[in-house]
Amino acid sequence: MEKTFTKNVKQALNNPVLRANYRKALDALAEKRKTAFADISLELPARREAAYALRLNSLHKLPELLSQLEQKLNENGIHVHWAQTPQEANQIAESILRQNNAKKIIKGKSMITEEIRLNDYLEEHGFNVIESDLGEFIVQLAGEKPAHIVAPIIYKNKEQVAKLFAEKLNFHGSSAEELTHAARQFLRKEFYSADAGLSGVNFAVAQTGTLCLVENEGNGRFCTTIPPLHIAFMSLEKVVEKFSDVPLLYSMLCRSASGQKITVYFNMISKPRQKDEKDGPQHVHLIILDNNRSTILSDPLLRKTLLCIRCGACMNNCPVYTNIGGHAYDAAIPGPIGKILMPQIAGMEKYGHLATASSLCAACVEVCPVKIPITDILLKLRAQATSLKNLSFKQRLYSGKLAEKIAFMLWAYIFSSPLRYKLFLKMLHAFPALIPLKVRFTPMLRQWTKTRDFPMPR
Amino acid sequence: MHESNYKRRSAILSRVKVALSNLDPEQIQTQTQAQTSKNKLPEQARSESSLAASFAKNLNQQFLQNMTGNSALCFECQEEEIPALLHKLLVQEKIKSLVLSGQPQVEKIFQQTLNQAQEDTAFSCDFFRFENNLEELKERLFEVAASLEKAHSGLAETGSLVIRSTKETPRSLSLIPPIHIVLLSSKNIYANFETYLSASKLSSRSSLENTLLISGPSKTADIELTLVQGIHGPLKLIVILYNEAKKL
Repeated sequence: MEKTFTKNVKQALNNPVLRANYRKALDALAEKRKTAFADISLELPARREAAYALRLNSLHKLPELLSQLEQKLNENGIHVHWAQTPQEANQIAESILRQNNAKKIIKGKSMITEEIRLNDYLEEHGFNVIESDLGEFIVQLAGEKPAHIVAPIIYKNKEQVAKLFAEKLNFHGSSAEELTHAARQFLRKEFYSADAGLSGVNFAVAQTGTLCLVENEGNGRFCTTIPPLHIAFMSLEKVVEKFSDVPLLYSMLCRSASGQKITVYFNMISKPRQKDEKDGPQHVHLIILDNNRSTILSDPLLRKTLLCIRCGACMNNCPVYTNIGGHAYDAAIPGPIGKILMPQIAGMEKYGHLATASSLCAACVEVCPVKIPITDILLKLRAQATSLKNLSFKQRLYSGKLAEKIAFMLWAYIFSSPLRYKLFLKMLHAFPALIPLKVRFTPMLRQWTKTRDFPMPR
Repeated sequence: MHESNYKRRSAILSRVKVALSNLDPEQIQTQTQAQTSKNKLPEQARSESSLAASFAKNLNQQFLQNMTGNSALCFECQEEEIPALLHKLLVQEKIKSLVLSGQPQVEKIFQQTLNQAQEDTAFSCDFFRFENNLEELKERLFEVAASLEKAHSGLAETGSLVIRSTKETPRSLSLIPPIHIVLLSSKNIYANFETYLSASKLSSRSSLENTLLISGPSKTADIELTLVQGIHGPLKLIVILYNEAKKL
């Protein structure tokens, strides 16, 4: 995995179109966020503190809140299912779909379904799954993966989208408006005929048993209103205690994510269709996923990873993400939050290296609406990943971790005596003259000299 | 399936409990913080609302300004002026078919609109009421040009409509037709989401109806962050804010 990551990074850095697409979009998003907070800039520190406290309070009360949520949902007629692993979540969804004889499935945007790779699973099992968020729809048409949790096709420009629509939908148009309306026409037919709608959940209110869904397009509404069956997915930390917690968190989410005061739609889903109602799904199910989150909770610092409300502001403001893009991470959740979340839910072996892809500049910490100490968590994960205890001698030798240790020991030895330090400096000055400039085989310096020349001493 | 669901539930909840027994030194502190901040926020909101209540007119203006900012087409009028305005709008927007909510007031207003329009020989508008199940009306709903309903309330700070799903106001009324026309009484405007929640006692009720906040026509900026109106939901949102007629 680490090798793939290094390769991805190299590819991304050598792709000027990709980097320009990202730069343009992310600068705009970061700017929009700033403007969105302008009217409340004085209150911002207090609001962040309050949002942090609300989320942490929910985490600390999780067992009670989850039980309460389940009880309220049951009273409201919504079925609750529990899944420990992605595999279990996928199987539960499959069995609900089969029980309801649903074959054609329309999906709203949901990061948790990316985490469990639901689309792949369902398609392998013979279901027809259609993404309906415009960005996700385009990602699906292209056979790719979303690169950003709020703006999935941030890496594509409209010429690329136009080409894709011409190839796959036989639609010829070039402006964002034409392309958007073509997708509208296409997806309306799918909403009309789908057997089931799938969605995520932004907040689940324990007090009332309400599933809140935040969106601008209306596809979330279609997925949760028109088909006779609705299945919602949430990871267990999405629960909040009271309805009065929601306005603040919702406002922080909108302003941080897209720089809006409020999104176009805020769905508060409490019940399936009632006896006297004319529409809405007859059956509503909620699948609550753990996927190692219960383990993350056991560490008071790492636990704060789960405060996240998935606004994506950390990505929009991250210098690493801006330059390498979302796909390089090869993870359901990329960017700073992905670097701390993915190793913890999917394993250090697979994603531990992500924790090293940060300069610890803390731009993410500064913009996080719920004050997640991302850099502190990164350091803790790095320490865990590099702990030599877990490695065999051979691994130590080849992982470079031993070399790192030796280098630091030497450094300490040199810097702890003035004489040794002076000698060392002298040696450094003489050093460049010893390397033939054009020969790039110098071990260890090769990487560096590939794109730069070693400066000659004056 | 049920039994294994119960087993998985117990396994997850007990793991969470064990994990949380590792206390965070900050925990007790933040719990009290959460308490105070929660007490503080609604209070702040309340004071804002009482202030706003004394300037009800300002609240209306704030609502209209923000709703317009959210790309909705807004009008303000007296209750008795609605039929004339509606007639004008139907002509202007070339709306040839309309679906009505089951609200008696909407029915009445639309009847008055039709009566007024009798002199206008060029005018014609097919209409039907959303009084059957979605399954029976689906085809017509996906073809109709516009819908008309009355909103439960409005939020001034964000320019939002509160729409509760009931037997009279089905959810898809504000979703499927390309133009969504909404009536809103100026009596029902709240300062913000917080004040709406505390006033409607939503937060203390054990269960509530499906509720929706709508703040403008459906939109997306997925392609190059270019804002485009009308992706899945209505392309156009028309809001008619009216002052209720004084009862004699």
